[in-house]
Amino acid sequence: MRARTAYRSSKLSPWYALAPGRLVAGMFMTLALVFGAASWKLGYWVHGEPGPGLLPLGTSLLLAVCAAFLYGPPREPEEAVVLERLPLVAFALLCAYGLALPWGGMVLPSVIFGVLWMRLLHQRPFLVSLIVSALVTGAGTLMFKVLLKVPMSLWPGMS
Amino acid sequence: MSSAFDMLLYGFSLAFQPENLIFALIGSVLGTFVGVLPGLGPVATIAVLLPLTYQAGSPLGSIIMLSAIYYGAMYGGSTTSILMRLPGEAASVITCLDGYEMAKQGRAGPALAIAAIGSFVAGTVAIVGLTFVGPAFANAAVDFGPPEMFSLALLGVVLCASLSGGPPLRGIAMALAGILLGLVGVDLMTGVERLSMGSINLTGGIELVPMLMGLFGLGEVFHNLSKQDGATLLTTKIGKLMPTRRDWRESIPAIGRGSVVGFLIGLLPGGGAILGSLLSYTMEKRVSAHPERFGKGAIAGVAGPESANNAAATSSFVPLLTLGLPGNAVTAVLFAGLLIQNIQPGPMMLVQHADIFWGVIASMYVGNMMLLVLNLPLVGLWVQLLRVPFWLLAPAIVMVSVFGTYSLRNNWFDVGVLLVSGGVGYLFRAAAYEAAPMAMAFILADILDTSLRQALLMSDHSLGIFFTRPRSGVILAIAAVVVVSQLYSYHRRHRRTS
Repeated sequence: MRARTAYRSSKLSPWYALAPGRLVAGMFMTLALVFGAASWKLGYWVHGEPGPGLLPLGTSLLLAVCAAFLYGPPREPEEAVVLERLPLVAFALLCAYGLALPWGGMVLPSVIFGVLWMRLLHQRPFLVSLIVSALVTGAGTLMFKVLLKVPMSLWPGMS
Repeated sequence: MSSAFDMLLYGFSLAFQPENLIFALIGSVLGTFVGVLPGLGPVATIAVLLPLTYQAGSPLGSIIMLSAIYYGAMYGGSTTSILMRLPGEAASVITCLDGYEMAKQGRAGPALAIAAIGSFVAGTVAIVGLTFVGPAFANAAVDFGPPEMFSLALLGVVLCASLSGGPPLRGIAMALAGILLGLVGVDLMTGVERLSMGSINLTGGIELVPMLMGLFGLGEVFHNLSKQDGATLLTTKIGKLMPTRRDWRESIPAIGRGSVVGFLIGLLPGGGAILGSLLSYTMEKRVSAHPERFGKGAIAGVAGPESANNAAATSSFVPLLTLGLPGNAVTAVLFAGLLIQNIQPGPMMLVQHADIFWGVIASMYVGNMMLLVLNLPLVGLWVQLLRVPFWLLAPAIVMVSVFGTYSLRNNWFDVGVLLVSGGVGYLFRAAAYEAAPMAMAFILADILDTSLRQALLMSDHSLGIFFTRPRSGVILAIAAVVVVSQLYSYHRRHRRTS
């Protein structure tokens, strides 16, 4: 129990402590550089006319300048927040679920995802997790597959 | 005028036929349901139901039902925005800001009531406008050339960037990133593939709905996980529904302004419920004697945007029905719905399919009454459905979001967009960045790009065209004033605190 509590409240290492703001600024800079280069290739002026790269190139330049300013130490107290482990675990779980769905059908990945979510992130008993997960999956299947007729396979290899 | 009135009476005679009343009721209930449900918006529902309505009902009945889903979703979208900070549909994003804060203060009841009443009033105002002055406004909007459209879209982005509570630079950066992401896909003017990085899935651009669902929906789920044990999304009581006298005093002018702003924005091609609610929020913040209360539970921040998004949803039928111009994703799907019924939207529709045109308008009056009855007395029912612990709710939200996203285009890539946007949305929350400017800029990116280049072609490559044309110049001047005043006030505030 103590271990679980410790797990829930643990923050990531100090390396990440200032990360969110800087990560966002870094993301903006990457976006600006990649899209800026692609826009330059497209051409901002083609055959004497404004080209398809005009607005993206201008926007990329402005974004790069903004990102450079934003990549600084936090100026406001609410900026000095830390990334926590649970949302990152949830994100990883969700990515695995998203990857499993096209191959595993709708039912199995959803039930497993639900159980893992409730066990890992909320420490619910296994049986409760399983029942709730099965019910949620059943309701989702009824709504999307049966009522809305979304063409999703229910089981692996089934269409 | 009398002719319009006569035609409206004719429309009522059609709308009150039992079959059409049932279609309006089904559409209103379904719309409210999908509006309440995070992750399943009106676009997905209308698109999925298109083949069903084609087979099930008359052309008028099916269009009445599809329209009712749209404006019903505008009503229902406010419920989850207020109670869970999860916009049921994109236009309710702004309602999250103050609606959720009100809910946290135990005032969810008045927020929900004002949202429903504001939606009803605005919907009715917009229908009156649509009936009598709609065509005239549509003509004026169509008269906007590329320079005016560019300036207007730029103003929308600037206003939105100024919305973010923190440093203006963050809002601007978010808006710029939104523009870049919104430009991914085939260039509308040259047909050249742009910024898609060779991915066939990005040729048509990044899908708006999964991106918004990820940024606002999953981002919030992840953010809630970082809270303490036992925390639930609904941490407060709903409270009594009836707003106080003070609430009414603050809400009535906001509803009036939101109705007008939403109606006008909805008339513009490219405008819609999201832009309407956004502009209304900004306007309320500006005219308020206490702008500092916005984002902290100001009821005008709920009343204005909720009214505006309903008015805009209704008036966006004007360019669709009279000009054949779908202004947003939902009206684009409705456009397809009309086409599969062999009805060509456009100027001739009033002559060739007067029954559809006036029947749909009259059904909106009826549908709005139904929605008021559905929303206020049944709000407790929706609330009970939503009053479940977070550990139970979270996997359900995630699954509904994933399935709902997939149902949009039956494309797993969209689910990938949802997941990535969810991660990014959490990062934005953690770093105290507002996602709204990015979303708004994303929507307006194509208008900005196309109108900029068209205007430059018109003016022989001179930027002067944006300033010499009076309407464009005035709009740009307003945008410049907004930017300068935001930067100035932030720096003054920052200097005072440091």
